[in-house]
Amino acid sequence: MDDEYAKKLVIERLKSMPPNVSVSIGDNGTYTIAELIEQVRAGSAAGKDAVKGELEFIRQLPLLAKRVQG
Amino acid sequence: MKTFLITRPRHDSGLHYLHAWSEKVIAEAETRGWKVSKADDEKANKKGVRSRLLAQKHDLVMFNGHGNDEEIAGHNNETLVDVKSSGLLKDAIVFARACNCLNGLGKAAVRNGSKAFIGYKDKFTLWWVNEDISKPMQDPAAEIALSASNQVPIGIIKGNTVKEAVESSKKIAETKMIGLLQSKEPYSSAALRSLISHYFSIGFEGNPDSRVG
Repeated sequence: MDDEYAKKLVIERLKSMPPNVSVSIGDNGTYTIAELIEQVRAGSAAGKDAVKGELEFIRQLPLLAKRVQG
Repeated sequence: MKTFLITRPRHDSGLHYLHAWSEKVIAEAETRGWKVSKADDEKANKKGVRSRLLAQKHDLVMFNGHGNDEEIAGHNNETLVDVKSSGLLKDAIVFARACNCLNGLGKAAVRNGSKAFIGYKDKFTLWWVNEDISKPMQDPAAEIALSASNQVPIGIIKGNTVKEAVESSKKIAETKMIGLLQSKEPYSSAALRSLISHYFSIGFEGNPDSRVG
């Protein structure tokens, strides 16, 4: 998966979250959903961490789903 | 008497949540007759915390703050303990509720005499609902992850080994994740992200069988 595709994927997933939530990404700062989407678009350190975290989240979901089914 | 040092800086919103949720850990320790030393807000500074660490050995040291591979920070992100000064944590069980500290600082602390160092190997990301920031204990996006995270120090205070405390926290997280995956609640997606950040990142260095007492 190339970086631009990963960014688009993550942005779409973030857009599906409630608009009134925020996140702390350690010392990279605190962001509302709208701000975080901008960070992802800009490719900042926070944005890169958000992409990394979201891709990890996607990777882990099938394992969690298996537990639900099991 | 068993002794517990906890740092609780509160200079940003994420730390505000860690500060509030640490009350439950403090209450557990006090109920069990531990002596609790709280380095809150501005008191979570380098000079003060190092002075407390030097003045007395602590059975459990818990840091809330921002961190990286090499160091843990306090008020206004001032470094409290780093790899070079990790000998200050000698003989203690340490829990660092901060990003990435397990990797370098955790290993160094154990090398320099900590019984064990529990922490996060990746970023610890925490989500919350904007309208609930004034009542962090009732925030549905943060509650489950911080409750699971609290289970680590609470387990240690109750006499569990390091391995038992971490496994217990992960077991709670697993159960909650299954519920969140099936949930239709509006903030379950944020709660799940917070919880996954805790679950897949937490670990420890040092003796898995170490405990206080």
